[in-house]
Amino acid sequence: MEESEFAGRTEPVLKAEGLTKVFSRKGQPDFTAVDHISFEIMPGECLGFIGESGSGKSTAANMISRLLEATEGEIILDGENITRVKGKDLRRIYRKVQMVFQTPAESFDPRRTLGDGIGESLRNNGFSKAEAEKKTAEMLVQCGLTPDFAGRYPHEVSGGQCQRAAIARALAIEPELLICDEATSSLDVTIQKEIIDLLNELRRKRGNRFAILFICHDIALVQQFCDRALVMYKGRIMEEGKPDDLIRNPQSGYTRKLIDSVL
Amino acid sequence: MSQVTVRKQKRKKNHVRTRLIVFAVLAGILLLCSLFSAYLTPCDPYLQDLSNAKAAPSAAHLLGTDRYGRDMLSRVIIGSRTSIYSTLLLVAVVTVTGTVVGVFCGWQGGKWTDTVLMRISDMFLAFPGLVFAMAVAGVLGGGLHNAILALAAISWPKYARIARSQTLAQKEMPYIRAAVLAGSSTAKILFHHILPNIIGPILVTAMLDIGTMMMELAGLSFLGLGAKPPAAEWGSMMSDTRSLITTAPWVTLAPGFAIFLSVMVFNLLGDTVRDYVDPKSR
Repeated sequence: MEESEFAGRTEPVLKAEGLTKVFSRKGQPDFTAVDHISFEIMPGECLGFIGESGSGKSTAANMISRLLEATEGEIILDGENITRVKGKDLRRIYRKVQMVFQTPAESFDPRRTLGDGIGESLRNNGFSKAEAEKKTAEMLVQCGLTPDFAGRYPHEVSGGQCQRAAIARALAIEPELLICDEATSSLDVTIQKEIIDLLNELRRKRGNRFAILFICHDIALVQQFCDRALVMYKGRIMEEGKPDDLIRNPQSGYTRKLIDSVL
Repeated sequence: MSQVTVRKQKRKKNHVRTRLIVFAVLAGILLLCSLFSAYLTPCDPYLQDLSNAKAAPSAAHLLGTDRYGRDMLSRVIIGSRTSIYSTLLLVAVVTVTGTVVGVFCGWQGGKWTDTVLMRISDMFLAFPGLVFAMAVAGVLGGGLHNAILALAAISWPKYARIARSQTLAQKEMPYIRAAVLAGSSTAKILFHHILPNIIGPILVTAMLDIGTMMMELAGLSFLGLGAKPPAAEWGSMMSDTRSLITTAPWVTLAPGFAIFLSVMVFNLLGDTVRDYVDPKSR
């Protein structure tokens, strides 16, 4: 995609309005995991989601990527309402939204090679086998691996390498929005830093061609990495702002508690 | 892990592999036997020679002759086609049907189609196997095809359950969600990702079932609900000749030993495949 397409654009990549998820089970009271949250992500922006486990961060992410059906609310991706799209139309939106998961090793099919996983989205979107292979090698190099990783199986590589491959997979189709759902949480600190450096580098390379939704419970990491952050608690957005401002001058009681517990 | 344990494990793995090769070769020989049985018989298995009935094993008839003077060795060999071929057909039909139903149910996971199909499979599981097979064979009439049908009807739920539970476990894995995100269609996800990951335990069950199925088919034939005379089938051969067990024991023992041998080979092969696939034994 050309840069000029985005130049001077003020339309958000993603807009969520009143997004709600209620889990209902027979014989149990309804549980509202996400409660009417609204937010926007601008092109090239990195938005952080902070909150403790169970605060609804991942549920929100899964609704945006349509892995989970929203109970209420609307998701507008690039001007198109994708809240209820199905089948072919749904597969089409995955050209624009991609995700990186918390557990890298489990996010690749254990019986298929990493290269097969990275090329899958390309092959599904009309690339020929040879083109997909070429692009896969390119992506692996871009993510700090060597092309021969394409032939390896997920259990043959380390967690950090696997997460790099997962990022390569997510970015192969050149999405406009990348959702990182605790993408660094299962890695140790040094590898965590490498992954963040990689994401930063990729952002610099692509400019405002891709935005990141960064879900993380580590406030320090969000402060380092994100342009803007939302604090979630019990399915609600408690606070929103620049990470530095949030940490120096927390408005809500919960944010203060969260920061106190870390520092 | 110490060097010694590693070495021990390696030796164990090699041991399993050797066993696997041995039993696979034995099973292969049995299969080839049944496939080319028509060319392997020394005499015509259906040729009657009443003057030479109930002859004891000799150079001319290695396993003797039955009450109509038919060569027992030829009948056992030609019987392997019916016995082994129909058993494998039965296991294949049951495995494929059960897996398809199970994967479909697991993927639906809790929707009404899943519930209905699983309750139907429960119904089949609730019947005592052989009795139900007898009832089906009774209603549809005897014959090998109906016996296979009857056994298939009671055997698929086991596979459906395994496939369903495996699918339920796999479909929550991040790699399936990644495949969804890659824009793969449901059919592609089921065939390219779910099936290869759940087929191991299903194949092992199928291997272990070959022996059981062979016995049950022989059992139905023994009861007169399987192969019809003069067709040679090990179960019905035993049944036809059981009154001769005191006077001409070879007539009963030959097919009996054939059943024993092939059931054992396939059971041991199944056991070995299970050991081989089990990650703990690697």
